[in-house]
Amino acid sequence: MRLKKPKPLILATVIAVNILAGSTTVAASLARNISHKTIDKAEATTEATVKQDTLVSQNQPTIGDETKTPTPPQQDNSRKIYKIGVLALRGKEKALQQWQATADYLTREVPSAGGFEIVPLDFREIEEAIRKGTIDFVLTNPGMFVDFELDYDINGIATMKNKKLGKVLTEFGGVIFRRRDRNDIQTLKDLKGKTMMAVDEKSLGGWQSQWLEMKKAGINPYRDLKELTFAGEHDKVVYAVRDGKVDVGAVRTEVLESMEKEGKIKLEDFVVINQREDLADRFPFLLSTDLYPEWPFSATRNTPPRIAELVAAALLKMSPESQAAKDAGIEGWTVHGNYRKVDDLFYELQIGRYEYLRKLNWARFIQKYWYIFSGGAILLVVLIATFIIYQQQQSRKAVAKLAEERKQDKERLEKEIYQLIEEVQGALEGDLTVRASLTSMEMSTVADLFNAITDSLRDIALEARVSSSEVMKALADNAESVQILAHQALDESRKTRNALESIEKMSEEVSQVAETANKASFLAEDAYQETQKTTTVMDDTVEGILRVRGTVAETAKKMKLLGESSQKISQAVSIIEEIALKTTLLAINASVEASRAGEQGQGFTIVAEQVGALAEQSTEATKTIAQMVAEIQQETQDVAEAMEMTAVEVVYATNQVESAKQSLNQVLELSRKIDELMRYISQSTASQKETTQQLTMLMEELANESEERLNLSQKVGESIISTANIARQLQGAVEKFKVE
Amino acid sequence: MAIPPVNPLQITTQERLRRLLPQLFNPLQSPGRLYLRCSIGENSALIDVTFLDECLLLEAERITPIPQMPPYVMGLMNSRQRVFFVVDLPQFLGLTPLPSSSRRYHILVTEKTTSSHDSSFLGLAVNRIEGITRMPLEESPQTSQTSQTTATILSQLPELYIDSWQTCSQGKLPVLDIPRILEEVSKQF
Repeated sequence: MRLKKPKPLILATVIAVNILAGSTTVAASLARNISHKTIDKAEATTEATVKQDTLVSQNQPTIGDETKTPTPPQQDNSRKIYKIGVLALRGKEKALQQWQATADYLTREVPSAGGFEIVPLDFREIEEAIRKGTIDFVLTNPGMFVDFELDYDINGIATMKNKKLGKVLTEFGGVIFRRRDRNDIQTLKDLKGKTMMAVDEKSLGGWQSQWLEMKKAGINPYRDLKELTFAGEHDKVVYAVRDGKVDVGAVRTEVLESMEKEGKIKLEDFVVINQREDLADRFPFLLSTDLYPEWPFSATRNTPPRIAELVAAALLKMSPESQAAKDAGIEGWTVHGNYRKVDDLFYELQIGRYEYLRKLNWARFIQKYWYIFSGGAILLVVLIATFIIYQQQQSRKAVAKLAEERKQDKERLEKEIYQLIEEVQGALEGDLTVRASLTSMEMSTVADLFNAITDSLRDIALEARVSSSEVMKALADNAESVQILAHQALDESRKTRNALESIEKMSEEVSQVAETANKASFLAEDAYQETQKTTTVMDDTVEGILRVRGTVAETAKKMKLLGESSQKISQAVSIIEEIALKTTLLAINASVEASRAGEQGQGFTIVAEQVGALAEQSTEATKTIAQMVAEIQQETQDVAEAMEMTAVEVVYATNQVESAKQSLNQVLELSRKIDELMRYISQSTASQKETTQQLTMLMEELANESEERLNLSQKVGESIISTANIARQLQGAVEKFKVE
Repeated sequence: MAIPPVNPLQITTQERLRRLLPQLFNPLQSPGRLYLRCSIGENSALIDVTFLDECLLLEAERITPIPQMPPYVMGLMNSRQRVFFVVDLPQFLGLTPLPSSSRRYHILVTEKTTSSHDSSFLGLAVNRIEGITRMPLEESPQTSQTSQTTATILSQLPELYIDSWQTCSQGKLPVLDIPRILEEVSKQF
């Protein structure tokens, strides 16, 4: 019963799970089918429009002829500046430069429109522009085109015939590349744990095509790469790889070749990973991925169909030699291509319109298969209820049986207890030989315990008998020992008295020591006072020396002044010398002039001569003075030196006296300490005296106590005798027990 | 001549000078020639006063050096509105040149009368102008006599430019032959 019930439940669950698993796959396939159908429908409609467009464009010339006739009213509506949103792959300036000629070409070829203008936009801006309807035509990559086709209802009108480096291409792909020196990355599998930079998450050539290749190689770039970044422009990716900021890069085909042609990079710096040799005959450039159709030119929903037709016709007509084609670097335009391959890629990667496939989660699953879940739950509840009822019935029966058994046990136990009491009755009267029988199961433990107790009691009675007789013998011995003890106490008391006498003698000697210490203390104090007097004298000496020092310093200053004034004298002397020299010259000149005057000048000549002689004498005198001054200066200097020496000696003497003073101070300190020590000795001798007195007292007490002990030992002797009597009584009592 | 006793307080400066220097006020006719005494190199020499025009102390910057000249020519100078060359006399005589770092020089201006009116001047720079000495006439022209001093001086001064020897209080000194020196110097120009 218990095992049978869960089985169907488990079976039901297994079946349910199987059904669920099956239906998930069914749901997934259903979802795919549905989305495919919608896509097919969408494509069918676009194809239809394209067919229509081509039909219309074939009729174009006649319509063009008609437009030449006076203006129909519709033309005014469509006459405005049409904006062509261009995806700026490699910077906005570059995009403008590339596509401006195409806008000019369209302005020229489609005169019924008011003109065309290029609006360069990046990956994010372009979607916003389409959503807001600010642009009329879109020139973007196939990936974005497939997205926008569904989301914003745009219509492809032509596919680009690309011309890259002299080759006409209608297909493109992506390149995964690394720096040449990164030899650790050889295949796609090596990308695990590396850093990668791509152009944009929505760029087909710059990311999605590479992603598909990586997925095929079993790598989930969002999980297995160390880091995945998006630069926004192709050039940035190439530079990041070249500068070693990332390990690998992903760009569209021909980007590397174009950049080399412009001289921005060198192709030999890079190595392409997963080079597709199998597609080499179809595609002339470096390639790591599958090939996808080139960029489509499409009209948005707010573009008038007629203008779209005219634009399509003009594009298809564009010749490779035209300025527009050359500037854009393309060969021209062809009919709108098949973008199914791009759609397959989106499905494979579950991105773009297939993004919902990734979001199929549990909530949706339960919502879909709720009835299976609810049936299972009801079954489970019923099973649990049945199990609980069965359990309760079982327990009630077991309780009744247990009560019966207990009653029987109790009766048997009572019987056995009575039997045991009868057996051990003899023990009450001192018979220690009785034994309890070990027949009953329950009471055997009690009987066993009783038997052990009577056994040990018997042993105790035997031992008591033996020990009481031993006690009796020991007591007799003790009485003798107590007698000896009493004698010893007497002896002790006599010795204590003797010790007391010698302590008194010692106390007298201590007093003598104290007296001597006191005398020493007085002497120490005298020494202290003497030392203090000496210190005062020393201080006076120091003061005297300092005074001498001051005087010496002052004298030195005066000597210096003297030296300075002698210098002034020598200055004055040199002035006098100068004057004397000039006088000599004047005298010579005068005598020269006078001698020219002949007889008349004779007298004057002599005077001049004499002036000259005087001047010469004064020169001599100044020389003598100068010499004397020099001598004075020399002596002054000698004196100054001597003074300095004296000053040094005075300082030395001061220091000496100072150190003498310090040692005296030490002496002072020492004598003070001696004094203190002496005082301490006399104090401690006094306290020693007290101690001896206390000792005497203690000794006396000791003597008294030994006497008391004597008395006590006599009392102990008496009590031993009484103990012996008690022991005898004990022996009598023990005899009463029946042991054998 | 007796000097009247005068109260010392009333003595004027002039009277005092008169008492101290009686020769000044009683000129005597003293015979003999006048010589200028100067030191050239380490020697003293005499120069006849009659060849001299003046003697002066000249600041070094007042002598303008002239290029392309013999080394003993110090340059051009002016005095009393005449411009003439200065010669380093010790260097010219082959002795140690005057120190170039001197702030001023002792200069003798000599005059050489060539023709009737033209007289050319030349500055002779010496180490030091010492004073003036008068020599009695009769003892003049003493030709080279052998003595110790003469020998030492001769070794330093070329005999060519020595005119004669004179004995004075400073010892026996050579008298320079100024005309000859002037002639030699002017030959070099």
